[in-house]
Amino acid sequence: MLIQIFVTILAVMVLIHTFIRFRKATIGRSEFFVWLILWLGVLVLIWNPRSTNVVAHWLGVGRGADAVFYVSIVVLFYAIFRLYGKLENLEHQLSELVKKIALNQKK
Amino acid sequence: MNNVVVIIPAYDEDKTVGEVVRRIRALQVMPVTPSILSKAGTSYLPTGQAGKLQVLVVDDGSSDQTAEAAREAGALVLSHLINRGLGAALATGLAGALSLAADVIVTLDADGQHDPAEIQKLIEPIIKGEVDVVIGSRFLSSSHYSSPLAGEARRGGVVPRSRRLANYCGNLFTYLLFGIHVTDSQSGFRAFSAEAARKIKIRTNTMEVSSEIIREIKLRNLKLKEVPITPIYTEYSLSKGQGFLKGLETLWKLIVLKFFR
Repeated sequence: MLIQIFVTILAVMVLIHTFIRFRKATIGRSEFFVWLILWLGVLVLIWNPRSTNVVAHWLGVGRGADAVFYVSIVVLFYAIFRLYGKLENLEHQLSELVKKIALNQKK
Repeated sequence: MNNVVVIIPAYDEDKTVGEVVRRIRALQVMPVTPSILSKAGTSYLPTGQAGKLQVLVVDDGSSDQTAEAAREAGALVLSHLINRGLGAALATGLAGALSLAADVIVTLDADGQHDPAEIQKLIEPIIKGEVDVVIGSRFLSSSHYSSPLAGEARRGGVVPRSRRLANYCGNLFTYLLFGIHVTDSQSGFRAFSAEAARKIKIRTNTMEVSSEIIREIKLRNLKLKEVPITPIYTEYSLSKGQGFLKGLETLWKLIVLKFFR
């Protein structure tokens, strides 16, 4: 199927890019392995869609493809919250900076 | 000594901030008047020693003449280079007040909805050493007394229904998230002891700071008292209110604060 080829090309490109970033040490070892496992997982799923049925059955969801969607949505939601939390921390650091400058002006 | 520093966070409030500062400065002798000393009835106030009352305006990156108006009226001004929101302005204000050797710190809004004459009510429990933090609540007051400062005010002391509802939601979610119930979680009229101000760590940037302060009070085991205040609602201060969407955003930020930071 065409989609399998597209996703494979995408996955390989991302993996190469990740490996380069790992070599340049812009990402750490653990981060590299997370991405590696994630995209290898994608490759397994796309070439062997039946494997998702095992997970689906275990989760009590009818079809493998459905299970992938449900899990993805949960993970995405979590990721958004985490990202927002980090953004808020970043905003706080910006405020700290503005505060320090304001307090310095007084002296 | 009881140095009182009043913090006014202000963003584009040049129409009202000067007047608010002047009204507070008119109270100059207030923190050490004999009436308070006798009311205090404790050794917390060394009699005869004069405390200072200072006004500190935090200009939160205003694009209008807020800083100039405040300075003209006699306030000290700390200016944010860029607009960071109410939470950030309060954090700067608290740090600034502590550096001014404040013993008691008051916060109130720049739009004129808080009556400076009520500052005394807020700082008294702290000067007496009864509590660490006092919050002025719009929902404890029973009388519909009309403030002498009201002037053009609509109805002194009567909180509009939309504000009541918004505040009810604010109180509910503050309780659900942080486990502490107050009658006016969104009030901007507060007083802190210096000790409390040092302990409270503000990490939020905007409107959600009101609930965050209440969370900090619980987290740091500070003693809180609510006292009734009478807000002065004018067309101007009502137009400065927060809409429904802003409320949702505030709630979302509080959830993130609780679980994801």
